[in-house]
Amino acid sequence: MIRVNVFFILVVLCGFNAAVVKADLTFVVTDYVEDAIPIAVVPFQWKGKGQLPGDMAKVIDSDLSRSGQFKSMSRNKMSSKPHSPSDVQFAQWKRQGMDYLVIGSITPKEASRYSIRFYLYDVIKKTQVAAYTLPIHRRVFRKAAHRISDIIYQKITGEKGAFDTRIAYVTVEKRKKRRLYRLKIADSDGHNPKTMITKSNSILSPAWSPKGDKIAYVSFETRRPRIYIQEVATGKRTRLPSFKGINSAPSWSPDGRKLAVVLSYGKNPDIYIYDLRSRKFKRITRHYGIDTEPTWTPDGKSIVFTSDRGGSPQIYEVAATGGRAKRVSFEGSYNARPRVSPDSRKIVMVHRDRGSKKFQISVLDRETRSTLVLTSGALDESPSFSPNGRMIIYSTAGTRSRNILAAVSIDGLVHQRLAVQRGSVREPAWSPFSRR
Amino acid sequence: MKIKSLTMILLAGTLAACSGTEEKPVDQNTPLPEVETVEDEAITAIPDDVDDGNAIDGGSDDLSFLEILDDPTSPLSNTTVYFGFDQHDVSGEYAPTLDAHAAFLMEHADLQVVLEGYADERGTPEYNLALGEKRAIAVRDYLQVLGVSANQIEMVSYGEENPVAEGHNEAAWAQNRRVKLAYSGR
Repeated sequence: MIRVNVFFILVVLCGFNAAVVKADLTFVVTDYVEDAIPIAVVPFQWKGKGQLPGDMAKVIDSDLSRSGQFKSMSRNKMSSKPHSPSDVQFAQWKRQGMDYLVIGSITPKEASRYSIRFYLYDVIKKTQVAAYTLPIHRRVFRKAAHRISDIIYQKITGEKGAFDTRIAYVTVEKRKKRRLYRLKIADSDGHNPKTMITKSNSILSPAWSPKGDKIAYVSFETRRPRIYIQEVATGKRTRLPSFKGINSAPSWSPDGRKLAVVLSYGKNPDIYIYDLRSRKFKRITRHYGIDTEPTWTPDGKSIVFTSDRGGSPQIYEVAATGGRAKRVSFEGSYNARPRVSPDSRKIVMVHRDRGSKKFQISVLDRETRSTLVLTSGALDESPSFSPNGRMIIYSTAGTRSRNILAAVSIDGLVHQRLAVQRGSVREPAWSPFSRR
Repeated sequence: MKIKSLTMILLAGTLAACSGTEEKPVDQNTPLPEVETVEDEAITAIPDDVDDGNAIDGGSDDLSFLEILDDPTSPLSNTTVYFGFDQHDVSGEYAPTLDAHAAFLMEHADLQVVLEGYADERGTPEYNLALGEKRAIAVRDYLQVLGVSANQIEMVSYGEENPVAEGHNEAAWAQNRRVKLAYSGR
């Protein structure tokens, strides 16, 4: 595996006015691909009066660098800062080793609106790859920047970008002898953190609805694990019908109409499917062992889950209509918490090799059944795919018995760490693509 | 207050009794049955107000008999059963402890105990939640075999949440893989 170890700290907070909300998580890219694409993102021209509404180019630059697939040019190395197509000198950028160039301008419009114009150039071919005008409202300034990053990413790599997405996670803070748990949502770069709920008992297993408008999760607020659904926009919350014992591990069906859940009735945990419209549960597995952590395949036809029916936790698959489960993981003494990749080809999970003491994030190829270990921590857990399947966010042990979040690319080449301001952070869940 | 709690216990008990969730034990030799649809009527959800897990309270006014739980010379002073990694079978070494607790519970028929199941931080939170419940069930089964009434026992799993020891090492993990016998009224 070819890797370049670079300690590359992105200070995403600088250069903004007071209106910017402080980030909860700060990204540190620890490894990026050796053949990262060189790109120059020139600061956008502000055509209005007074203060700039924000440094859009900086947000874009940070997004692209954070992906590990791009290496951006620092501003003080730019010998010119063009804003319009007629000012672009390809020879200059080529000489400085750039493959791509981004320029743009921001024009103020009425009622706190702006018009963003940007161009993407292929410096080697001396051609314009993309030119867009985005009319936006001031309050979605950063979101617009992430959308531009998505466009650039897709034009260059051919893959959909996942910058304009969000991450849900749980923070744990110790206050004297009490612990405070918060379910939070932030932009994919850690900005704009928003608290969904604060409780003095554990919160587990946040899961985004396919439209990204709701989050299902488990809260121990009644001192028993119970499943709740909360609307992201309004904060409105409902609780699923609850039973004795465990009510846990919610996972939305791809059509958003059902939730796969775990119920134990105080006897034995099995997988059930809850129909949100008919409000009925249908039993999917029936085994005296532990069946838990259900997740759907993207076609909605199967449920992939963890079971210890074979003596140790392993990954199994069963039709969403029920029936006999088949085992899908064979390597390692512990495989749990599966998530299927958006292209259906892979399963990411928590894996422990035979004879090893480490729990690491691994990816299982559903066809070849081979397992690739992606991380090197000892207590890595809760992997969640970015909606384009490129990155996996997970929780890992940090210093001073805190948990932090980290991300790794599906090929194991790009590594990021997300430093949290204070306390512990765990149970990350990457949102689906945002709806436009 | 007392009356209210008692009513709540009775209510919870009644609900459990009418809920009809009784599951037939699975015979390992027969093929897996067809998937059944569980109707809402078949499994009655427990309403919010009795679902707090706080509904348990001692039925007796004088709780001084519970002081024996603090007597280090009594086997009752040990209220924790520990487990091996990913294990949920009760080790033979806990027989004297659990025998004493079973006798104690049978002697005080209106006494309630909550079996809190826990796991260490290794592995996944949801699997550990299930494992914690398996451990609580193992202890419950042990107590029931000795004759303790099902009505006296409640179980809750916290999985890897609320660890008693916080380190990332075997010493801490061993302390966290446990079932705690928590008596009401204390």
